[in-house]
Amino acid sequence: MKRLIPVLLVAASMQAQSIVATSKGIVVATGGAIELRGGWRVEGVRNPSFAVAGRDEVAVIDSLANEAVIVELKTGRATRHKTGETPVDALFAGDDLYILNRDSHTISAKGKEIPVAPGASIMRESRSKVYVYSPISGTLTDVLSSRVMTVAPYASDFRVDGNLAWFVFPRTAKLITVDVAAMRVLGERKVGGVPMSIGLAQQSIALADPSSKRVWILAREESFGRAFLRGFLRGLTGLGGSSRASSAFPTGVDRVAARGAVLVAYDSASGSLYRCDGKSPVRLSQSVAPHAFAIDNSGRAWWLDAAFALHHDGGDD
Amino acid sequence: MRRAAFLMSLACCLLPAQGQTRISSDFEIARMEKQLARSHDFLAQLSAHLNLGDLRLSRSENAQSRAEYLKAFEIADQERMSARAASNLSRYATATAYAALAQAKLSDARAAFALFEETVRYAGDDPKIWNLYSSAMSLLGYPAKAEACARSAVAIAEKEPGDPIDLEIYRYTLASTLPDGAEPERLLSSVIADLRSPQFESLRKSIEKNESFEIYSSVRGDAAAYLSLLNRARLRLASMYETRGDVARARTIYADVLKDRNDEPAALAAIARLSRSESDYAAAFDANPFSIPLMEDYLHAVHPKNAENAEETLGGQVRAALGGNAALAQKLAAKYPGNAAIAFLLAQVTRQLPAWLHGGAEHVNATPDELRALLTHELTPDERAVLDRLTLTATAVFEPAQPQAFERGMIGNVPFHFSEPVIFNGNFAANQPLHLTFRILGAANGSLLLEPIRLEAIP
Repeated sequence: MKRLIPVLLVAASMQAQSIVATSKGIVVATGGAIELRGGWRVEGVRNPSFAVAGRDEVAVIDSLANEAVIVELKTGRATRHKTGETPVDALFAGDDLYILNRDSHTISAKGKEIPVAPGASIMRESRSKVYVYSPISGTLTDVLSSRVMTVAPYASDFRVDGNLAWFVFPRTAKLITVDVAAMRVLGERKVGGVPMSIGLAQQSIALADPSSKRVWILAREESFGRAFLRGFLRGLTGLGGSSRASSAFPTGVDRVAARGAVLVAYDSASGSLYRCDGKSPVRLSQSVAPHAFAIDNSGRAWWLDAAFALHHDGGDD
Repeated sequence: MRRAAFLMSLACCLLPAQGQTRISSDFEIARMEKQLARSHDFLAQLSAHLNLGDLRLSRSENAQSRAEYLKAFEIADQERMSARAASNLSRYATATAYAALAQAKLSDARAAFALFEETVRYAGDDPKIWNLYSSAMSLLGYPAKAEACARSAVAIAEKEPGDPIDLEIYRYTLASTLPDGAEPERLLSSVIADLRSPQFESLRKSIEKNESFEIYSSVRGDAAAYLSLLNRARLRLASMYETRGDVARARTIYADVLKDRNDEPAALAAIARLSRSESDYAAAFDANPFSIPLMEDYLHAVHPKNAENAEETLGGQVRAALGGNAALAQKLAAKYPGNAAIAFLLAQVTRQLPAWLHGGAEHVNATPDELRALLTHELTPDERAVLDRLTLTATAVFEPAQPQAFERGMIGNVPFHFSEPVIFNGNFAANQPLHLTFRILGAANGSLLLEPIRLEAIP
């Protein structure tokens, strides 16, 4: 069941909007405003490129203007910050906000600027450790320990869970698994045609592949240690033996997001958003901006449509 | 992807003589229109619209330029959707980059940025994409982003060498994003030296054989890339030297550019800027009569007047109009409606006519700009009557003449003279600013004829 929840927002273009699920509810950022649904509303950034949530705060980033607005979820108290050049990724590790500035090759965190490899553009967190990857150099850096390893250049996405990280490479259609504790490559396997994006679901890894218009679902090993003992290559990639493809999507999906057992896929060309944890994909909406969808704690998918109306796909508010 | 199937955008937006192209850009416009009519493939259509947009912009035909960029965006957007539907993701990335570039040319920074970010997700390993991204960011006024993108292009291309001319283009783009300094100088000098090296001998021969000379911003094919890159790199290096005050080196490089193409408008404008010679300005205006920067430079630096044979060429007419010929300016405005440069010219000429020429004041303090407007303005009988009774005061500097006698001098950059040497009561020196009170009797040979009333020292 689709439900429509109108929110009062300043008109802005399709590209300048993002939403994020927080512990207090959905936060919507459009050009000039940030709003907690049913709560506070504060002045935002002009071009909200994306938003990230921590336990107590939400950060809305403007990659074009090099600006971030951080808002306390409870009070709506907002502070505005200049970032480094072109902040393209951000996350909370514990209570600390990390912002990755691609064009100044730095991470802004805890009031410091930490240098990273040129071209570094993807940042992930696991167990309070922060990892950053540079597609140009192909290097992965453990930011807090400064350990660096070479994975391979030009991955389009990576995810970390515990000691394992998975990287997808669209040109070579490869998935590489890395042991981030030992900082070494464990193995690689071919997958799909042009895998672009990874989502970590409960028992599986989902890969969006726009060339085949499918999402590939790879079962995860229950225990990496067990897999290692078994010594099989597939086990060494942190993946189980089974894999399957979703039913074909009407359009080529190139982003996938997962939370628990919930999976949504997105086509950035048409702006189509799909729920795909069932047997066949269900189109939720069209003309959704790239960062204008999220999955909340209860497994509902939320999205903001082109008319700035906020929707979710089921359950009670 | 070879260049045959890819356009290179040469960052030209940072050149000081931005947008100056010969009026013989008529030739390039005709070529691109022919290309539109004859070649229907995506890149031919796209490059034609992008180049037409740039060419129109260089002639201050802003509305037509925008229409071309819009068309380029529509074509690129259609191509990206069609490529995506066909699951051709390489084509999709390329088309998305062009759509982004078109948005940059339309000055939509947000759309351009979003589209480029989408492109680098798909083709972050392609230096051509980073190079386009850099050009667009320069165009939109984001130099730090432009520099980072250009460095990515160079880093990728140096790691995986491909076509040598591509790497030269990336180095040129990087130099274009940098402020004046040792690094851009080294990069540009190296690009120019490499292009002139034996490595490109066969390409040069082919260019000579085909008598190619056109210069575009979006290039297809090695010959066009070579010619355009050599042109842009030399202009940028010369401009860097000019800014530093190394006029001799700048002049040498501008002259080199003109050896290859004697109507190159940016080089001609630079030569005029350096020489302040009326004949050099004549050549520059003939090359591109619709350049606002050239008009501004001419107004600022020269004492515009009706040049001899001024109306033989369009450039001459524009110079004459800039000299204050309001009737001619009106005529040009009627002939070129919607041209921003002509509108600028008209505004300059009409704005220059001082308000006191039509008011009832007995005495005014006149500015050099107001006085300059009278140099070529044809007075109406009413205006003559006003000037007959009006006294004016301005700061004048006299040329040395007979002891205690002055005959001519300057008010700002406006030359003036008396009908005969005049001895003033008091002790005044030449080459010193003095308050001169006068009446205006007329103008001749680019100089105002004044009747002196009083001369005073400046307190």
